[in-house]
Amino acid sequence: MRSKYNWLLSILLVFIVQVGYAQEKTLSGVVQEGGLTLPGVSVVIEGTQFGTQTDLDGKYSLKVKQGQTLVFSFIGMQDVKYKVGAATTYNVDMAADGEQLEEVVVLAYGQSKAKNEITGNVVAVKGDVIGKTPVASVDQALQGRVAGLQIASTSGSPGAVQNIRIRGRNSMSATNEPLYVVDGMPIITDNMSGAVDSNGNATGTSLSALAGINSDDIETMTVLKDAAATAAYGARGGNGVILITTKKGKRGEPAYTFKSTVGFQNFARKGPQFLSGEQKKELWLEANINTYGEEYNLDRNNVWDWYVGPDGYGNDALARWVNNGSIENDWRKAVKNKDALMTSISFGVNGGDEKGTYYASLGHDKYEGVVIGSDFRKITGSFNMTRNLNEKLDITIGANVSNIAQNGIMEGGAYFSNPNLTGMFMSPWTAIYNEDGTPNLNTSAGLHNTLYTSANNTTLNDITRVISSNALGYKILDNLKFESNIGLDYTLANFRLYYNPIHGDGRAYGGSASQDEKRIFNYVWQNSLDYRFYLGESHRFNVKAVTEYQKNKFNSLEGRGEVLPPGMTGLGTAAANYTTYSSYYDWAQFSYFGMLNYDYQNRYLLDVTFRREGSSRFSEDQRWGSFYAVGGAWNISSETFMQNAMAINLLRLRGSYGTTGNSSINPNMYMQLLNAGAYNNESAIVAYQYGGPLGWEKQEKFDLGLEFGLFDNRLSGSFTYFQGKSKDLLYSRPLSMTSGYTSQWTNIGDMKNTGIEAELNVDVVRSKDFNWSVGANVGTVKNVVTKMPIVDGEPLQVIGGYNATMEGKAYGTWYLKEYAGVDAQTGNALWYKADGTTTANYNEAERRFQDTSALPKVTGGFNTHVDYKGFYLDALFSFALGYSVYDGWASYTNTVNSRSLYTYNGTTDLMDRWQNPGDITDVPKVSTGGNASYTSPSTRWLYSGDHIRLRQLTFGYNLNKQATRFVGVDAVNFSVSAMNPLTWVKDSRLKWDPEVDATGYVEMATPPLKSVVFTLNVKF
Amino acid sequence: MRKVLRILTIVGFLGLGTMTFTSCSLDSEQSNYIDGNEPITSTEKLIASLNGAYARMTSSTYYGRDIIVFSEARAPYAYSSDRTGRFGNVSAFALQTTHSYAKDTWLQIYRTITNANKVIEAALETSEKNNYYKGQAYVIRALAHYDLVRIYGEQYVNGEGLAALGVPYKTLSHSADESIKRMTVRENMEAIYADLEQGIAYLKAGKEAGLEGNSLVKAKINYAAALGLQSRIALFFSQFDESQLELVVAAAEQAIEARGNVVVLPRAGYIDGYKTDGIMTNSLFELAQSGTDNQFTNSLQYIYSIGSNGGYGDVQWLPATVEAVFDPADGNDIRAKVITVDGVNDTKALRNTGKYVVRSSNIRMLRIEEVMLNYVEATLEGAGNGDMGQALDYMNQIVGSRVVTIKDGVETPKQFTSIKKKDLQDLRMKEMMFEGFGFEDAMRWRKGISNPKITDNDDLGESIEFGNPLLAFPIPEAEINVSKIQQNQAYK
Repeated sequence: MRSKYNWLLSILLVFIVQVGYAQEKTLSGVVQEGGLTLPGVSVVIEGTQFGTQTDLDGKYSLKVKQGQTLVFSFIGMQDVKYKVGAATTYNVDMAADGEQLEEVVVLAYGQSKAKNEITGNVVAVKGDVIGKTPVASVDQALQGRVAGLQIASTSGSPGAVQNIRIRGRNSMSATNEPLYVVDGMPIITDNMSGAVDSNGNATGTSLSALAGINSDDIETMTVLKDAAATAAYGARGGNGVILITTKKGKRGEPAYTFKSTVGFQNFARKGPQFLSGEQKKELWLEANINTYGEEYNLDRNNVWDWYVGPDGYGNDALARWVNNGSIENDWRKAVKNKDALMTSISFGVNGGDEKGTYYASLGHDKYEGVVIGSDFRKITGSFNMTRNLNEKLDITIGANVSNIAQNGIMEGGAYFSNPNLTGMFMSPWTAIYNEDGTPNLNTSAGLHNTLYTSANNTTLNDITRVISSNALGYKILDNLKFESNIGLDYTLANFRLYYNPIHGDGRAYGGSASQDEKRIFNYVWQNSLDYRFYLGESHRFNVKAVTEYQKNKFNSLEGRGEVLPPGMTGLGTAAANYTTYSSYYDWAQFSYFGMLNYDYQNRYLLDVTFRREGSSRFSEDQRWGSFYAVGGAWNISSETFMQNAMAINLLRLRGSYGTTGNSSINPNMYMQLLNAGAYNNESAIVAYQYGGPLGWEKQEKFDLGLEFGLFDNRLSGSFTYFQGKSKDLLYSRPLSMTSGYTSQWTNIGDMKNTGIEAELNVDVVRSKDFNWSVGANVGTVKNVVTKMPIVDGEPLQVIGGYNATMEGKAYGTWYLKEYAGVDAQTGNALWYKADGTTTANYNEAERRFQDTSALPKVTGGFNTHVDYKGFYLDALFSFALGYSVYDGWASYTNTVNSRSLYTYNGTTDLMDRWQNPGDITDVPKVSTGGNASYTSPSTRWLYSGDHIRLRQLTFGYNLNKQATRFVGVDAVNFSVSAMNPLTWVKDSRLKWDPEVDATGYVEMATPPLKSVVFTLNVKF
Repeated sequence: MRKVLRILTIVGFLGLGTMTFTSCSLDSEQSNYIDGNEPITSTEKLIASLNGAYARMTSSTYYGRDIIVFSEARAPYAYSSDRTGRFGNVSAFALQTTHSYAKDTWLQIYRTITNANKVIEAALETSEKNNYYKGQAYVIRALAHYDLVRIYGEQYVNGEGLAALGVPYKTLSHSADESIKRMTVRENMEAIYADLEQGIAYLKAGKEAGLEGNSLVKAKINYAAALGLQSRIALFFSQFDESQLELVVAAAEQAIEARGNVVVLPRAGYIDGYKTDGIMTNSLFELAQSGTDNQFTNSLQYIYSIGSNGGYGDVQWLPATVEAVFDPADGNDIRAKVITVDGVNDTKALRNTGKYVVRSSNIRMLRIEEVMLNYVEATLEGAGNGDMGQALDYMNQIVGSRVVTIKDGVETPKQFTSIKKKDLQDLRMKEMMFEGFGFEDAMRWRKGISNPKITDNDDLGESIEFGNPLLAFPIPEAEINVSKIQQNQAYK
């Protein structure tokens, strides 16, 4: 079919050429693809209908004028353009679509450029890399692949939100998450889960807004880091921008892809071990000897008789456990779902002709949680169509539809029905099951048997989202194009919560049910004019003018009721105590901006961007802000004096300076607000928010980089220095609480981030059958708060329980009393005083700044790829250095008193407790009441988070051509991947996973996972 | 030419689009708030703002739980075992400046004050009705500052009394950056009295104008309740300044006179009375809670009990047995039934299972029994206007409704023939336990506090005695960060 069409075309073209008129000179050459000549390639002079076609030997010859541009095109191949110069021969090597000759990077507002045309700092990650990373939300695939990008996981539960920081923390109180742009449309990326409290803080498994995107639909992800790259996104680009470009169809016959994945997941790190029943008994009896030993003359031999006697505890939980045969109950194991299954299937088709292309895909993913009670399922459908309506008009229609059903758990806090908490807190003396095999509901310390609650309660997010991105292009002139883009993003979020009346949180209410419906509609309308022109021979200009309007409408309706009939779980079945809540808010942003790209013979490049933007989030007089960026590059390798330096393929300097901003705060924060309340069934008004003038947070960014490619690009890489200064920070300034308010949003304070980034890629071996490459990237960031609000003539110092923020230090630097170990004589804990001596009195100890915060100072990754005759091996390591994490739950899991030793459970670290004078240990002596301050904030619970993680190891095989032809398909690939199989942690004391969320606290949530995943990929 | 026209069309289209958007669309809308800059211009808004102050008081960080538990967890007869990690550091006198108990209650009380100030500041025409509501706000402001003083003031520390550091007294709602400082306890006392007097005067005028009608609205502060609270507050200050005793007696007398149908709860209805969701017959003032408006798992019920309705049960009875306090030889005391074993796992611990038994229980803010006991105590301490005979009558009204001796099936109510300090203290402790008086009463009677959380800490010794700097809560660090007010001595 294809060849028939080509011949038809060629006849037509030959005819056209016949009537064409002869001109100054004849250009001729040979067109090839990978060494084979290509017949039937059309060669047309751009902007005319004149042209020819290659003959059976791939040869062509055509009469042309100097300065004209020839377009070589062939279906299934990428067009090649050639500007006619003085030469009379020009040979072309064409490449199939998708195998791009030169890597083209997608940039802001639909621009795409070759690497040496970019002045900003951007990193592109290809879709096939993302598709090969088996994770529930696509952002996770970026980890370790982009210098200066850090990912911290809020939970390992499938679909949970990831914290992404590009070049560290830029804002104090506004968000530090980057802006996500899908096919040109900025999307909202709030936590989609209904499990949030009235302040929007998560009370259970979160749900990433990106979880609805099928990783197989992604063509590329581009991370924009500096001002030149992000300034087009103006105010929202301050934290960096992640552009997600979805796949479009490619010209040619329908091509089908099929992918199937199955895998098994577990905790990436085991985490701390918890005491067994016997260990706990040993410690608890010792605690009683230490406390009551003198009074009752106790020792190891007689303590048990005393314990179960009238002076002791009688028939308490421990005695009952012993009487029942001392059966060990490993709750941590009980709440795990070992080898949790994940499966994924996706199917796609694409194709097209010169009139347009299409792409369609379907995907289905299912993840079991590694902790009981959680799972995740998504169905995605993606459709994309481009069509030339006539020679002037073209249209693009795209929609990404997804439905996610996520069974979450209560996590991220000490919820009694959090299975993670059960595993850590529940006493091993408490039976997991009754004798008849049913879950034991007579649990200790008010904790819930989460085996029962997770089976009988409901925490379900059901979210349907449509992201539709559409464009209409109109070619006014050949070099002037108008484009109108409309992005529609509609989310319907349904959240259902049910607590059973038998056991757990619903017991007090006779069962309770709630339902929460959210509708979020977000639309973006962009109109742009794009004009390209030359001044003279060498000065190329590209001017773009854009207006953009975005509006977001949020509607929610919630209901809650109590007392439910047996077996019924819906809100509609509740009998009493109904409450409802509803809320509406909106925000809007309007901006217009211009971009100018200039280059001189592709040697000197200059990009200028100016954007003016207004946001409804700010007070009326400060609503509008202006942002600009200037970027420049010098392609040294394109200079004539470099033409003889054959070893150098690419050498360029690039730099940028500009301003961006941040407006990501809740709407209406500038207003003085009164909230509704209720008292005694009467309406009430309460003072709620203290507002005031509020405007844009501005960031000044400077970026200077060197890029190079040597020896036929076998050695390539880049070095970058950057500096970001945030000014007029959107800062939730703490107020004296005597005002009745805790904080006020203001523009106060400055912060600075500086760092270097480096990337290096080496193709060690390049050959037909054997290839080996290695690559590495590293990014450093140093954060300093440079200005704080002045209070009473002095800069404000915000001192929290664990960290502090003040001028001259990194935001949220850990600020703790320093632990000095255990007094070998008394067994008491010691801390350092200001004079350097130690004290056993916690209150006398001095708080000191530690050198670290929750954010790493250095992050990066290194990777290697080996392939041999279709077999390949990929390995990716990621690392993070220079940060600390704090275990805030130590006051439950590591106390030397009844809390860990009796009521709840402790870690096996407690077995190292001090016992006799002279013992050298870090764990104080145990007693029944113990000293609560032993687990108060101190460096005892602060751990270095430094780690290196084998992030992904993939071994695969591509079936060779003969075999695929035999099977009748285009390509077949098998692979097996291991995610997070190995982790090396510097601090041997740290048993938890070092990857915690961006706040730096070990949270009671599902930790990161490791998995083994098998994948089959077929193209036909 | 056609091209030019085309371009003009497009540019015109863009320009129009731009204008359409810029002209109107950057004003945001929201559904749940109103502009706080607008002054209160109607009586309806005044009432709603006053209700807001009451709503603030019901929060679990204030009267909904915490301030009551702060007294009970530091009482001679109760403490927090820290079973679920709640209030253990209060019982252990181990609060740090960054702990949420110190911070949250500080904030919530000032929030209440801010709402009260908005009511007081309202520029409305002077009418008895408007003043009646303003009067309530004055009393709320006084009570709130009194609550701050008793928790954060250093009056107990080293016996400094009224000369000690108190708390900032807020009388303005609008300026968040007002420079503030800690007043002395004496200055606080004078400001509190001034607010009380103003409030009581307004309430009295309102009552006389018939605004209280025939039956008291006990879910809000009424004239009698304001006087009762005045007697409580004056009794507190009288421990540092005996001249306050007469005010205790005078206020209590007037409160009792104005109490309407409020009487001492009879013995027969004692246990059931506390189980009612509604207002008790012996109450002058309660903060209303309901099935939908309550503190849920942060309720008093949840902190006291672990039984069939679930609960944390951190706060428990301290003595080894009920009989250690309620000696059967003294007669059958109905109040002993408040304390029982709760739940099946924790069989050795005794808990309050009689007061605040459901989460929707109203918060008993002021009972007539307390007002009577205030009168008795002040009289006993030497108030010149106190009547010993009247005091004895109040004592007997209460004890006669609580304790009986049973002989051959015949119940004889217990009666005193004279008042001893010890009897009064014993009666008051048993009467008010678990209602938020334990710590303040012990301090006034100069009794030390001892519990396992204290004795387990080598740094503290066996008990915390009057004068110990730890008797004052720390001023929250988050407050000092901003306003730089002075920290209490124990936490510097």
